[in-house]
Amino acid sequence: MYYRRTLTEAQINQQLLGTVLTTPLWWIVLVSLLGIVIAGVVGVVAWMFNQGLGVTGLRQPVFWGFFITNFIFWVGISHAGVMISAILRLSQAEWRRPMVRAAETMTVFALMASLTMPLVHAGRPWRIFYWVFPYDWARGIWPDVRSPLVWDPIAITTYLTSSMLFVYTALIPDLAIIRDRSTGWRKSVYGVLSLGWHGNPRQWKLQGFAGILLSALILPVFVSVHSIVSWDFSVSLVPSWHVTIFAPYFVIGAVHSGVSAVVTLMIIMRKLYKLENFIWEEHIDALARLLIVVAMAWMFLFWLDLVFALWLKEEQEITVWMLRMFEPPWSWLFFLFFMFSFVIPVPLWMFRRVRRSFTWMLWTSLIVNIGMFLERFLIIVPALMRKGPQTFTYATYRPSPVEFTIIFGTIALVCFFLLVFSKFFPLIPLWEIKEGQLLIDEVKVGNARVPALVKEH
Amino acid sequence: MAHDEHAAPTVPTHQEIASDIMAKFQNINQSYWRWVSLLAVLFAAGVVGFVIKLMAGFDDRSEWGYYVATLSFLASTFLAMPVISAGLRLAKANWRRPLTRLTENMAITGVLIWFMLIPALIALPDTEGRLSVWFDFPHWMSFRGGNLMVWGTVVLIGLFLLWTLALPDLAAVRDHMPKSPRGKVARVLSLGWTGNTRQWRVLHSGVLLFGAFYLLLYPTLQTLLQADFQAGLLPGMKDAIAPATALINALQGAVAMTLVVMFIMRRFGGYERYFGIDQFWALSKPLLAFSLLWFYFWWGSFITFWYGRQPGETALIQFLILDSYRIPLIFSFLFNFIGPLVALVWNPVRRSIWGPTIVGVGVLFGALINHIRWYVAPFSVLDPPEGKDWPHVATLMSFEDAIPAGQLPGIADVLIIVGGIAGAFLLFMLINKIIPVVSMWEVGEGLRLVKVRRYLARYAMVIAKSH
Repeated sequence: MYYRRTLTEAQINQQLLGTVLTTPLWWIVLVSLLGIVIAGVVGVVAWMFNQGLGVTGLRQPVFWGFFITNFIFWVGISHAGVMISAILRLSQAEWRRPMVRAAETMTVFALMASLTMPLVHAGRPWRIFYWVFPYDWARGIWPDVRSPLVWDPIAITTYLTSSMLFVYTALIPDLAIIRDRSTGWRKSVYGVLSLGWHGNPRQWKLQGFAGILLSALILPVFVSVHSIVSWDFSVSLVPSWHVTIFAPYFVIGAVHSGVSAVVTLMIIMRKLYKLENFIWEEHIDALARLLIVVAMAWMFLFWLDLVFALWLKEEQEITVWMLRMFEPPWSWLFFLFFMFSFVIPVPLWMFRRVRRSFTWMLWTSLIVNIGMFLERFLIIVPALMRKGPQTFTYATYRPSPVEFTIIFGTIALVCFFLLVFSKFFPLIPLWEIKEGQLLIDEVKVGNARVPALVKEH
Repeated sequence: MAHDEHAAPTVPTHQEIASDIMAKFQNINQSYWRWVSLLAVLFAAGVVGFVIKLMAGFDDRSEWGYYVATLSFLASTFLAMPVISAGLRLAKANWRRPLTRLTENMAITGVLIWFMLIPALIALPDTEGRLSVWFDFPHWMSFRGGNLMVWGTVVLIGLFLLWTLALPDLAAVRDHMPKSPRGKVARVLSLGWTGNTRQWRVLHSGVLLFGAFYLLLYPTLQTLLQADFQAGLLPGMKDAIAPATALINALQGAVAMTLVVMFIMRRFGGYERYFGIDQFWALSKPLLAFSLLWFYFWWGSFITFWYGRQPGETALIQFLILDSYRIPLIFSFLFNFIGPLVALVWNPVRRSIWGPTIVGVGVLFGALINHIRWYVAPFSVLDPPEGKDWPHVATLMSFEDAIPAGQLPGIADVLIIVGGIAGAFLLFMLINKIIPVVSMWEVGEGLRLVKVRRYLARYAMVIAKSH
């Protein structure tokens, strides 16, 4: 059943500014719990720095494990923000409105979480600077700009900066609304942040222009980030990594994972913040349709990766794939990855009833991200477990409790940031919702009244 | 329909539209016959070129490079056009309605393309002992039969998609022209369509089914084309991205061809009111997106080879990029990426009739050149010496002595290129007089979903969501 809820501007303000203007008890409890978890994880990280990377499962030749998997995972999640916000804004998809802010915010926090991983992975994080910045002017030792490991921090920090700018630009009208409803020091802070916004035609024009411009400019950055991450692998000669398809394969995989994360986030947000009037079945349905397309494209690229890996009939290449697909425990992980990322969710999303069920969509979107984490793990680890010329067996890798704890810590970190953000800023853009209400109409077709939209130009 | 947002847009009735399209459909004037005759002569010239090649035989594979490039160009533009229709329909884009039939009518060119595939497959060496996506299936059926089957299925599904979507319009033709030969053909093809609820339901299900199948199978066709006609003939070629690149290029070509054909129909066919600014503007956006992706996919492949620096990769970069086929790559780079980027990044260019059309013509030229680079190059690589196997790994074999030089087209090659393209357009011109080039029922359906409302000092279109 298709139905719409029409709300007045006052109702929109009241419902979306609920957690900003008041502090619910559940929020305090959740933030405190997550804070304790994060503090614990920071302690574990400090202990690992003190003890050295020996406390992890990283052993020669598998020097990339859970940390790098997690780095790629969070960079992937960060692709949702731009996918949802910039592309849907440029294509004037009306259903984007309630989800853009949350998606953009998740991008920022996922990128922050991802940036912690190379630091943790280095074991001695200060050494990261040796790669990125010149550290010995006298002897002319410079970072190797031809290395994708140098491109990574440049791409990710560019993406982080532009994403923050993107979030901030879209926040300005809402900040002005909060300013007008606050008192004391909060009013001053929001006053400064809202840059004197009064909503006059010139300001709206500039805001719209900035939104479109940033959407267009951020798209190449969005594509380049995960491409560069993929080139960390593909420009090497490691069997199963040196493939031309990795850049689009990583990007589309990131979008698959990121949009699924947005679905999860929207459903949890809807429940926690009681946003039933803003997040409807229609929105989740639209996201599920988008996911079907993305998942099919991802499967096409996965299939090409597999076929062309076998193409040259190179022994090492085939061995890695055999290891991934047929040798336990990797084969079990491969089975789970394939089932969770594609075989279970995509056929389910074909059914309208599933697409419009919050419960089904929550679980299917969650398993996609479990699957996509496993995918990155399976790309990295079996390829490095190669049998060397002088060894008779494969090396193996088993993540230690330290690594599990730190991975869990990054999830807690992103949730913590999102909760704190929601205390100070609305997770659904008020002005976008209000604009959307103005564009809603109805058309009489035969005997039925069909929901309609005013065409934007 | 095109409109000015400051004036009250006029929305015609379904009856007006149907009468107008039917009048244009019924009218076969001198100009039409002149175009058909010209295309028929050019197609005949192409047949002559093909016969010249046939007389030379299949022993020298390099003779067939331009033929395969033509085949690939046709498959990557004309045959990709129904993908545009299916994709836009799934995306429920309202502006698509006047142009989808045009793209679906192009499915008829699949018949010519399928017949052109047969000699191309004969020109290929057996897969035994060489790299192939058919792996260790030695029997000739595995790749020749497999290709014919996959291509044939794509063509058939395209034709079924066209036929299903044309049923209501064929019924209209049947009822308006009962005594003419075209009316008689329409009577047979319309399958007794009367427009009852059940028939509409079947039509919508059929369209969804055929559209989805076409969208799924077309990438497979491109994969086979790349693997069998290009990668399998180039020693050391391990380019998993190539089929995806080919798919993106095909979609770019299909959008460009749609723009160009819309312009021609507008200019010479009197279809101005159907192919308006809205359609050109909307299509120029995916054209820009595909142009950016063209570069992205090309770069993804190049950088991996460049950093890999394995002997086969270095030789391939020399052969396809830096040396033998450098000039075609530069042309393709200019027309498929730089040109569209520089022009279409500007909204006034996108929101015009001429802008996207000129870019579209450039894209098609660039695509043709790129297909020549892609397929003439591998066909000019010699077979391995007697008694030696095709290379399995990145060894150079045929490249050991020297990288083959770029191959220029002969007269027969030029005739085949011109004749092939003319043949495809000829089929399109002919089918347009059996099935109207603008869908009466889809445009009519769209009109029922649109209302004009006044908002303050302006008028705006209100579009119902048709689910």
